[in-house]
Amino acid sequence: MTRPNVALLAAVLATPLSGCGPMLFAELDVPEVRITLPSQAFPASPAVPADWCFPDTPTCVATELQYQLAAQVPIVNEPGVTYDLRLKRVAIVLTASSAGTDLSGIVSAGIRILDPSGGPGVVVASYTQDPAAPAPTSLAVSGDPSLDLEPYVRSGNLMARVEFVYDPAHLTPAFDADVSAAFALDVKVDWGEYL
Amino acid sequence: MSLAALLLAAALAQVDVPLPPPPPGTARRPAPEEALPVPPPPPVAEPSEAHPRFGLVLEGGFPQGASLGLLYRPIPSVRLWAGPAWNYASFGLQGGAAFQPWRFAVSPVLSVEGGRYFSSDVSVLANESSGVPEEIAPLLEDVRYAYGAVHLGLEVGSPSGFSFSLKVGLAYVSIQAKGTATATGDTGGSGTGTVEFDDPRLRGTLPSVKLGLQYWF
Repeated sequence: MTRPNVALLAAVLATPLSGCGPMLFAELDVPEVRITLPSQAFPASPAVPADWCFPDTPTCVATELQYQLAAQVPIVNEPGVTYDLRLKRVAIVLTASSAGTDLSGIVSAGIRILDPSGGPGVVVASYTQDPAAPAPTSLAVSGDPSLDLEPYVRSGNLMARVEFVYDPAHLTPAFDADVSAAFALDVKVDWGEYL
Repeated sequence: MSLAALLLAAALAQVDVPLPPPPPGTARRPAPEEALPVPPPPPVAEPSEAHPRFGLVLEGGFPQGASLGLLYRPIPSVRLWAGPAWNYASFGLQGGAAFQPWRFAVSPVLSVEGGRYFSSDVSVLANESSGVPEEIAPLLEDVRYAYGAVHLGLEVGSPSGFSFSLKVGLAYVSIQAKGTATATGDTGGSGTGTVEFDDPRLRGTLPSVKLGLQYWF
C-alpha cells in the first residue's frame, strides 16, 4: 500500500471516531403529540380556599392536570435516555354538559407547569380575555417553544395547573371542559449505555 | 581509382558546398534535424483482464436490504456502484464507493454507501400477532426509509472475475412515518384521554453487516 493510500484509509477510519456524541444512538422525533383530557372539572367562582391558586388570591382558581408521559412513551424512564419536551399550545373547550355556560367570567388564565421539587414552577402559556369576544366557549393559548419541560417531569409524570383569574363581579358556575395540550417530543437513546 | 582521387573525394565531402536551389514547384526537403519530432511511444495498456472497469454486484445486508448494482472502476483501487434496492416493504435506489488498496485473492475493502426507499404501506404489520399495536396502523401507511453506511470488510476471489465479500460497519438510518395515530387510554390522574401522534421520525445508528458477490467483466 502506498503512503497516500495509508493516509486516506486512516483518515476515513478516524472520521467516525472523532465525531461528537455517541456513535450508537437512536432519536425519536415527534413534531406533535396531542393529549386530550376530556371532561375536566373546573370549580366555580367564588371558590373555596382549597381551590385558590395561592392563599391570598381568592379570585384565582386552580385546577391540576396530570400528564403521564411515560404511559405514552415508556422509554423515557429507561437508562441512557434523554428527551426534550416542549408545550406548543393548549386548548380548553367547554363540553356539551356545560351547555348554556360560557367563559365570560374568566379575565385571564395561565398554564403553570409545577416544579416536582416544590418550587413555584413556570407559567408556559397565558390568556387574556379578548374584549371583542367577551363570552367565549373555548380558550386557546400558545406555549413557550423555548422552554424545555424535561426538568419538570418526575417519574414520567408532568404536573400542570390551569389557573383562572375570575372577575369578582361575575359569578361563574362550575363547568366541565376538554383540555387538549400539544407537545413536541424529541427522545434520544444512547445505545452505548446498553453495551 | 588512384589514391589522390580518393583523398580529393574525401576532402570535398568535408566542404559545405551550397546546394543549388530546388527546381520551382518542388517542395523543400527538410533537413534531418528539422524532421517532425518522434511521437512518444503509446502508453503501455494494462491488460484488460487485470483491471476490468465494469462489473455487477449483488448484495444483501442489514439494515440495507438487498441490492443489485452496476460497478465501475475508474482507477484500480476505487470503485463506484449504483442500482436498485429492495427491502421486502418497497423498492429503492442505492449507490456507493469503495476503496480497495490491494487486489489479491483476499483483499480488504473500505466502502461508504447510501440509499433511499420509496414510500411504502406496511400497515399490515400492525396486528396482534406481530406485537405492533393496531392503533399505530395509520402511521405505517406511508413510511419512508433512507440509510447511509460505512463498512470495512474482506473480499475473497478474483479481482477481475468473481469474488465474495463480507463487510461490517456502522449504519445511519432514518425512518419517517407520515400520518396520525390515535390511542385512547389512561393518561394518569386526570382520567382517560386521547393521545395523537403526528408524523414521527426515527433515526439513529446501528451495527451493519453485508454479504456481497461481485463479477467483473
